[in-house]
Amino acid sequence: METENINQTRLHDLEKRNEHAMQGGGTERLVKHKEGGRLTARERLDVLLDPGSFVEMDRFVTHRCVNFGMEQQLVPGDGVVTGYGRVNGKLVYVASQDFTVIGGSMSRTQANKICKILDLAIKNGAPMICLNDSGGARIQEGIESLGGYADIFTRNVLASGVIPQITAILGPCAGGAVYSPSINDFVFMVKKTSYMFVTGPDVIKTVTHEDVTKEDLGGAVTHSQKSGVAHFATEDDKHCLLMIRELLNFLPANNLDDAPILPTEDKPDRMVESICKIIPDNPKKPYDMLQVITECVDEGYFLEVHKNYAQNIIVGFARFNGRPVGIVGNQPNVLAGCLNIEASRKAARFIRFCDAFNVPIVSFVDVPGFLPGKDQEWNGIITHGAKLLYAYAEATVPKITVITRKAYGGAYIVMGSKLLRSDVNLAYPSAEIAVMGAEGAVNIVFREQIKKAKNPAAEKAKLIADYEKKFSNPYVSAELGYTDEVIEPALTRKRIIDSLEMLKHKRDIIPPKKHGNIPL
Amino acid sequence: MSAELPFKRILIANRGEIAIRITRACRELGISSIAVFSDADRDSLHVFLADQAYNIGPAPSKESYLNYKKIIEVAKEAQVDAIHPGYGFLSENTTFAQACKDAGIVFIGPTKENIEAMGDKLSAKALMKKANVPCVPGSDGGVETIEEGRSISNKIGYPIIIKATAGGGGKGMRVVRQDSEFESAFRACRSEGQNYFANPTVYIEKFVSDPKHIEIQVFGDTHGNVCHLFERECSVQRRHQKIIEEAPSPSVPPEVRKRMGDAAVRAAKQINYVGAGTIEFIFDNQTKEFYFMEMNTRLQVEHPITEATTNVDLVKEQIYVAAGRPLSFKQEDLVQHGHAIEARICAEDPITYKPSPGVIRACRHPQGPFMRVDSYAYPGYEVPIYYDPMIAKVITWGETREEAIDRMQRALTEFVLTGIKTNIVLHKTILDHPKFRDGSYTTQFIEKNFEVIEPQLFKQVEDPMFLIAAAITAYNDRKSKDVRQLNLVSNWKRLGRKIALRT
Amino acid sequence: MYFEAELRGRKYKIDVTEHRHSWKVSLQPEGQDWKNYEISKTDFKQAEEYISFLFKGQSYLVDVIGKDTEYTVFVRNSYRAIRIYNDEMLLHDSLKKGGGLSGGADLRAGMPGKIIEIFVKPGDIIPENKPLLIMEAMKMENEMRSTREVKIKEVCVKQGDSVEAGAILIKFEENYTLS
Repeated sequence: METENINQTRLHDLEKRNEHAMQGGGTERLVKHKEGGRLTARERLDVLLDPGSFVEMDRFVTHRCVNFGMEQQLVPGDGVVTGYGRVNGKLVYVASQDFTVIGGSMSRTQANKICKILDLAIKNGAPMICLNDSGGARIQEGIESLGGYADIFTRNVLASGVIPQITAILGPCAGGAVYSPSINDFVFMVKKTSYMFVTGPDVIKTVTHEDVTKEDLGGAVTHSQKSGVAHFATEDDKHCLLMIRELLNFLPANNLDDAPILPTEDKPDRMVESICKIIPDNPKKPYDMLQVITECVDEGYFLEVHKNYAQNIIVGFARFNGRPVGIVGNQPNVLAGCLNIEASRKAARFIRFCDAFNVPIVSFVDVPGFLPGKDQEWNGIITHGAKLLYAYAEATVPKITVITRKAYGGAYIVMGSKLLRSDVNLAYPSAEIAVMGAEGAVNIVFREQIKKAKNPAAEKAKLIADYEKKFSNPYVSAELGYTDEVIEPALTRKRIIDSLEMLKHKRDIIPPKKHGNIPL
Repeated sequence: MSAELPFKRILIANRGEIAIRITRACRELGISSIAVFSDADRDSLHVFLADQAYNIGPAPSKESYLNYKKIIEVAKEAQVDAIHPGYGFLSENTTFAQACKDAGIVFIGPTKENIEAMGDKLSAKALMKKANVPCVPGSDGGVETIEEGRSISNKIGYPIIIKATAGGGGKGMRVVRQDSEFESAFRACRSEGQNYFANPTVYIEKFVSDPKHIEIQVFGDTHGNVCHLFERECSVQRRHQKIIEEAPSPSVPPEVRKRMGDAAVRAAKQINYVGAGTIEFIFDNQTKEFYFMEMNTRLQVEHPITEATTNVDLVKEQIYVAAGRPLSFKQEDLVQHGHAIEARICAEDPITYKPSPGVIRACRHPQGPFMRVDSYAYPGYEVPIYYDPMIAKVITWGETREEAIDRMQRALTEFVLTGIKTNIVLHKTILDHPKFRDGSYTTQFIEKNFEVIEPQLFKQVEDPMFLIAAAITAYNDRKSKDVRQLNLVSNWKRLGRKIALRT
Repeated sequence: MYFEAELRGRKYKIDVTEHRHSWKVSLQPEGQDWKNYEISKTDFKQAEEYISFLFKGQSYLVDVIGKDTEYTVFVRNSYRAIRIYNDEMLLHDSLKKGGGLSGGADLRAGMPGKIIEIFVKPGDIIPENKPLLIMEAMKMENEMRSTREVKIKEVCVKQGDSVEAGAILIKFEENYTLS
């Protein structure tokens, strides 16, 4: 009877400790945090993970700092909630920083917790999701806290290409802390309540005397539109976490396993007649490539990544007959679909992610060339364009390319052409696969002839018409075997699904190397 | 039996439940049944049940079931002796009847002359007058001018109805209750007659205020015999579509019944009618007077309730008569026994009456004593959009009218049809309605007295039940996205094990 | 799992939790209190084409068909159409057949070009996907459209103007929503 009483007391004690840990920085701080329109660290995990699936680890870890009287501020958990759970049944590892605990600041012990979870993720081959909400390094801990960051970064690097890593910036993220998100595969931000920058507005003001707000400098809109650091800009915490769930549906657990093929009712042999209505007859008229993509994929569902950045190229995930694929498409509505620095970088990184994780790539091509301009040249379009070519050529996942209209010159080669080891190359009858547009070509080849002609304008027009007839079509490419099949647009979906099925056991290798030297 | 009949093979130029009905009669007589089907009906039950089946074209009726040339072609290829046209489609098409004759195939139905005689309402009326069949007091012919019309109307007495002679289905008719409304109604009917039926001729009839639709089944043979098989009441209708029929009518006194039957026989004899036919009367429930409306020169949908109360197999009789035999019964042998009700089950929304095609999921027909179900529904069947929405008929019989009604209620409760909307709940509400139960309902019943309110129809089932069922199903649907149930093999684990073995 | 539902014009909140042998379903009709139901899994049995549901002692043969957010529940030959959804389902649906460029408070030139034709003026309400103006650039005639219904606040250019990349062409009314 005596032992029973003692056990009861111990159980009560555990209960109390648990309750205390759940409080984070205390009810007052929690309420204030929520008033800002943000969810608490634990609430975020409730939204992100399947109900009842979260298992917390290291709930009682506290810091060991004795500088500056920090021993008075011992909070169990030390500002981050870590553990594992499930998203639609898929095992994921999570770390959710708690802003109410000493500003969510990173300490040596907080970093230890996150590293432990990262280690588990690497050992078990499951994705890692980090929810950032932190004031930065804990100044009181000095370089030890920086050491903590470095440990995390190292693991991010080692895990890169092994497991998918996702970061959501749900609050401030400044200084050194920004490197972990940027090494991760996908960065989510929330409009108005999150921001990211290396040096903040105050320091900028003192050094360069520029005036800028936190939101403008490094808010969600800035990073999703201007810098491209953020892949997703969402409306609020909940929206952000639900989007992460949507994204995880497409990602495999690790670099050896496949992303799950989910059943769909969308028939694999569905004809897509509507494409003919979307692509105008007049090659000068643009159209929305996104419409073409959504017509072909299962249920019209397309998860666009980096939606507001480099809008002249579209990247994202969708399913064909239940099979998740990565999609790259030129967008004729923006910059006529030309490739430029931002677009090359955006697509190259996406392709390399898909290659690292065995996600097949389907490309929709309508590209008139690279964007001309001093701006482009001086900022290295040469190097950045090369990134895209490198990514396409290096990839060993199934690669399928559909040329819908224009494919001129170097851009044609870059956008997943046959000779970059693409597996299936399709073209529509409206495709114009040529070294350049008719007008440009004629100007060069027939310069003398036009000058000497009685009516140069008429002569030029005639030559352009001739050239167009001979070269502005997919058949030259088909005759050379650079295009495998010229198909009617209505067959697109069926043919892509046929190709993916045919390629599902593809084996391809690159010569052994430590790693290549992609022009960074 | 077929050794005595000259028919060895009969083609059924129809679909759905009537095609099955005719197939059954053929089978009982040892006759081969040949079904025809459109592209949309490949999976229809009548195709599965017949001995042979031929495709007659694309889904739209005009290109298949109404394509008489194609049907004759198929009939010749299948070497049939006779064609049974069922009801609707080509059953009253004189061109088709003639084409059958020309091809040397017996058309199981009335003669071409019978059909023509009754096809035009005005000439039909004239023939009825000759046979001393009471007709609705009216203009006895087309009315040319407004003055003529008003004078006739005043003589008969308002309310009157103006009708286009070639009209039907509710078009080209207007009720006029007082003299001041006459002119505009007259003009409207003439123009509708011209626009819809290419014939602006209109006539005038007395409008009966408490009207019931009572029809008499008649049967004639090629030896001049004609009998009647008593009446059916079909007043439960909406926009001239019948919903519930019963036999006998609760409102017809025995003496009037006899007079109606005799009048119907006289009418049929007047035109030397051959085969099954129905004389439709409009019955004034106040005065118990009846007036000839029109004659349907074919077998009707609601024939089962006559079969249930007189024990005559009407379809087999049609085949006998077409084979030249005299009628198997005499008028004095026929009696009405008990009471029968038929409910037409349609794939439509019970409130809006909009057709509701789709795939039937669960389907369990009612069974048990004194029950008959003529249906072509089955689990997994996709009800096509091209044809009539009626998918089944439920017929119950009882010693008394109350018993028949209670049986029908029981049958409808038992009948399970999910995946599509049906009007079963509408039937149940009608059968419960006091005006139906006391038999006083008229043809105005559905449109005037019957208010279809949702709570009335669905009062049996409470909301939480629906919400819980939907919520749990939604939960399970979401759960099916759970990857764990996909039982994936882990390459990660396998390679890891392999690497671990190397050291 | 938490859902919101609409049945016969009334809104409900529903919470479904699965336990090993039963379901706990809580219903909250709009403006009323939560009502809790515990349904054992033997009372709610699912077969392939129907569900046999023993609810409050009554035996119902139920069929639920539908997907995404629209369901129809059939029982005793009556049926109810129910809309059932939660944020995740709504988000998933919103990613289907989206369209075009992201909406913003203004229409900007994606690249340098020349304004060929303008179709709208301030105050106009333009439905989704209707062209606002045509700009010639990169030897292409770009028909610029809005991705949602907008109300024109200000047209900042005129026909014949040459514009820089990023220039604001048309400003939309902020906070304009469909009435």
